[in-house]
Amino acid sequence: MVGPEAAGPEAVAAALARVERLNPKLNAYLHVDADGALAAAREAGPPSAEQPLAGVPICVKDIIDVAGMPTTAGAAGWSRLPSADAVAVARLRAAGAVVVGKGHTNEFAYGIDGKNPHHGDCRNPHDPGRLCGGSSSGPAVATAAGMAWAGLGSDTTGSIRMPASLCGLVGIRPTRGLVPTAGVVPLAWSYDTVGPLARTVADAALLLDVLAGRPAAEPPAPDSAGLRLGLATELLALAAEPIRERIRATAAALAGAGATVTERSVPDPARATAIHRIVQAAEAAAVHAAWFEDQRDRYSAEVRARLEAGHRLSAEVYLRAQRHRRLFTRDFAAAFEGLDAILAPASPVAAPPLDATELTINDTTQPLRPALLSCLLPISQLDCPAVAVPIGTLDGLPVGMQLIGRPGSEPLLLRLAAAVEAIADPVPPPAFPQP
Amino acid sequence: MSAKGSGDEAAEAELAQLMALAATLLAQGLEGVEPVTGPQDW
Repeated sequence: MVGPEAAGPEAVAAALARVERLNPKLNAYLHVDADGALAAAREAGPPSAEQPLAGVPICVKDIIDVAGMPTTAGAAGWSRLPSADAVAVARLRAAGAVVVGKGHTNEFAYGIDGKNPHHGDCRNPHDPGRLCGGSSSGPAVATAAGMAWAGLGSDTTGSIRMPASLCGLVGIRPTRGLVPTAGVVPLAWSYDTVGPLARTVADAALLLDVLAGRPAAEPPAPDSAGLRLGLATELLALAAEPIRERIRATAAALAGAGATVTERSVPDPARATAIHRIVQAAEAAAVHAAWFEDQRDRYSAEVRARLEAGHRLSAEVYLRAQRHRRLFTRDFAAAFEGLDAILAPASPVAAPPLDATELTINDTTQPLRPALLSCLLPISQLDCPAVAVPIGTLDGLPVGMQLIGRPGSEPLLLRLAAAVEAIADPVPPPAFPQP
Repeated sequence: MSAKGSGDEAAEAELAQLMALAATLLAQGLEGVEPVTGPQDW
């Protein structure tokens, strides 16, 4: 359970004080319920086996319903005022968690950079001139900057793992279906997952148990001895050389701690890109169809174009992509043979500047969005768990590593994540100017 | 949502990209392969 220093009225008041001081700079929250959070914290008892999150302040991504708070999905005009919590939020609150407010997101979670033309950009607490990553930008930044103990986000293409990587956090994309998505504004049904962002592996593991509706297990022991790990050749090749060096050094340290590490070829990431863009565009267009005409002029041009294009894809094209997704998964599963987990970069670079539109990686320049997603999107095809875990910093900016397992292998992945956490250099907390 | 072209150049460009990607996903070799619907366990 959570330590007493992280819970209760004083902890919630401290988080709210940081919201007041830092949110104008970082824009992590779109809505804050200070009175409600303080009242809930006063009612909560100390953390216990029954309520392991009693009195801990949480930031919830603003595509996830919290009863009595508006859900805007980061949109310009669309919103709803839910009378019930999303299932994931209900489980957190049943465990005693206190919802401070609703966290920033890319418009309808359809983005990876943490920017939003309607609500302003969310900023990286390690350098406010840089991207924080998205679309679970608010929960990530609130957690990294101490405006919450942890965050609740969603990951369709990489929206938990990317901001976790750029902000120095642990982020879990769970096995699809492990955490219910009821009460969450969908982006693409067949990819959507809900999961935690936290400062430590133990915190993230506790949150995942609560979100999955099961009793909290002991914190995962940092143990990689005997694990058979594959370093994904094709994904490693997508990262900038300094990131590759960090990944290789961490893999070598795991080998030194008793794991077996070998390079392993995985299916061509370009196949996954083709599959994903078609499936996501078609599903997102179907999600938005009910309100698209009414809201058409309120979307950003970028999101509107993706939705209109998705609407014009045929069912045959969509289903062909989903059949290729099945084949891609089979091929990836075959590449997994004889391994317990696969290691890969999370982001191919540390946090880019806020105004970046392109990335040049290993002498190749490409648009920002596909470049940032390159190491995450292939894994989103597989319905398996993936954990982003910090492995130190590069020029003061966090670097993240991605740990990938078979469906349902979260306990093994979290032991491995704890081992990485124990080996890697820690990410120092963001430094802010004193008030 | 308008079923036909909206005149929006960005949407047309996006659709062209998606159709180019779709062309890389050949129909051949898919015999007996069902589309992903629910979560996959492997």
